[in-house]
Amino acid sequence: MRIKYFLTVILLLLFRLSYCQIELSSELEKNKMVGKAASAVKSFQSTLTSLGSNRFNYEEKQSYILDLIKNTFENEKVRIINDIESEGSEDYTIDIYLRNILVWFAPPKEVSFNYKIEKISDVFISDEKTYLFIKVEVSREIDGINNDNAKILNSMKIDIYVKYNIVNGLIKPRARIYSITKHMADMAFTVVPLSKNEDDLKKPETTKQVPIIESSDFEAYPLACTKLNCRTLNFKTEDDLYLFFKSPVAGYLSVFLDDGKDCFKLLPYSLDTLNINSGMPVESQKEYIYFSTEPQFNYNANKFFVEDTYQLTAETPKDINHLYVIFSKNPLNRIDVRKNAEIKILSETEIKKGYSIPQTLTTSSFKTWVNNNINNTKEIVLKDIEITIQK
Amino acid sequence: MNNLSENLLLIMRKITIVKILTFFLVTSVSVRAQEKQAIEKLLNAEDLKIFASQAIQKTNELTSYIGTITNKDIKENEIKMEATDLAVDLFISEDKIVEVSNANRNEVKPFKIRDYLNKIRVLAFTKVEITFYDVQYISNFKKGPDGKYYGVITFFQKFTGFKEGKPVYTDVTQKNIEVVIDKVTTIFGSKKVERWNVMLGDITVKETK
Repeated sequence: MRIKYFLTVILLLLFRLSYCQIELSSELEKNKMVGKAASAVKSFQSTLTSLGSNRFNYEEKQSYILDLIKNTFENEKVRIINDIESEGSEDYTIDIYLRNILVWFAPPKEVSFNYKIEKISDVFISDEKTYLFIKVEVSREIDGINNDNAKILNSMKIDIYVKYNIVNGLIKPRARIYSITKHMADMAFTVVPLSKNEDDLKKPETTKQVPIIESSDFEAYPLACTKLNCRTLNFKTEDDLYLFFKSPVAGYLSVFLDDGKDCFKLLPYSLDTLNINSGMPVESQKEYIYFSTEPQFNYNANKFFVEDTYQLTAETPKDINHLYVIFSKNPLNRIDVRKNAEIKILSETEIKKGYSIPQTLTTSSFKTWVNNNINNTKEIVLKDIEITIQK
Repeated sequence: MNNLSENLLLIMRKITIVKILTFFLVTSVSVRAQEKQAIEKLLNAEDLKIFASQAIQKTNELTSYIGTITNKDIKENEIKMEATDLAVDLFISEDKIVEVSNANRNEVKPFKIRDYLNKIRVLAFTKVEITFYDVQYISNFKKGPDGKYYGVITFFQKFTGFKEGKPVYTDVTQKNIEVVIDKVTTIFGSKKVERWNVMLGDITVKETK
């Protein structure tokens, strides 16, 4: 009898395990997972550019490698296709790949990595049901000169796989890159279904987080100089901040920098009184570099227009800020920003030199504005770019 | 009756022993055949081509690292040390040796790989070029007790030492490189694809010209 009972329990457990189905609770959960996968890819690309740049010394680059492997990759043995040395191995482990960039492009040589996300897949489940994964298809271009003075310029399509582990039937929230391969089309994977539970669908969205909406509709990334190879997410205190922007459709652009407490309005410029706070008009397919006073980056009808320029400063050894790029096909609803005299970031000397703080609103007011104006429409897209500023 | 049954028992025992012996023989022959088949499978022309090409890739990487280690324009010592670590990682272990010959002195000295790389870093030349080329011979691959396959590939190595931009010393050495073949896994989503990966072993001198 006992044996029979035991066997029944085992059979029921096996039945349950084999039919246990992992589902995503909502479209929002799926979008968040996709957004995190895109962020992991961007973080990877930004570190690659920092490793290839002379702006950082060897020690700083070493710390970027450790940070990247710890926070973005499954472990240091993740395999990555070799796209930096045409005569080398087919692939490397990620730690060797990153260290090769330091060694083969030693200062004064430099190399830049330009990644463009072409497509982000659905959320898939592994055959063993031990993890969920997303395939991010990227067009990437490498441009640099190696130690042998050989020009390395090539572009190729690669697939970056990002996983979420499943432990005891629960999906872990951390996104990790676990494989980077040559692009392979037509790979058949099992899609994770969305839950059909209507109660779940009716549940009000309670999170007040700023949503990460990955959109391949427009390109926007920060730069440390006005050249595209200065693309980075890692800044040093007193670095200048620039922004590259390009959209396939015309629209209106606003940019904010969030230090976790206050949101600073960076765009529209403070002197742009025509469409203040409703967004800078942008043309389709035009490449813009913002926050520079160089004449070629003056997009105002007035050729004597003076743009705002920005310098980043860190208050702690490593500040983490968010750059919010908001693009809309129509003029935006007014965002209530104003001069905040209470923010005391600048020293007396800096104020005397003419530095000032951009117009601001509190981070919580900004998030309320986002929830009221962006979460309910597909007409406005917000891109959240995390940047670090080191002292 | 007793004698008969004893004889029958003896015959049956003998049959059993023969059966067991046959089983062992068959098993052992079968294992050896499988092993041979595996090695033969490894040794097909296509695989040999892949191993040779991978071995050349690895030696090209070694060449690149040596280029960085000996490049006097690179001032950061940390980068040279990093290149040394990466070059050592191409070898199956730190204990692997590189034999170094000298055309003038007609002698061959063995160095552990890291010692060899440290030695060439401080050579009196302003620039050193070491290139590996021309696969001359690939030996049979044999399975080691660790499950990896071992073979030997013969290359030519050209060493050129420069001073103030001019070559002041050159030698061409025929070298044997022990090659170790292991497996690595590439993951496409949830599909795992295993393939061979070549690592370097001892590099010994065959002849110096």
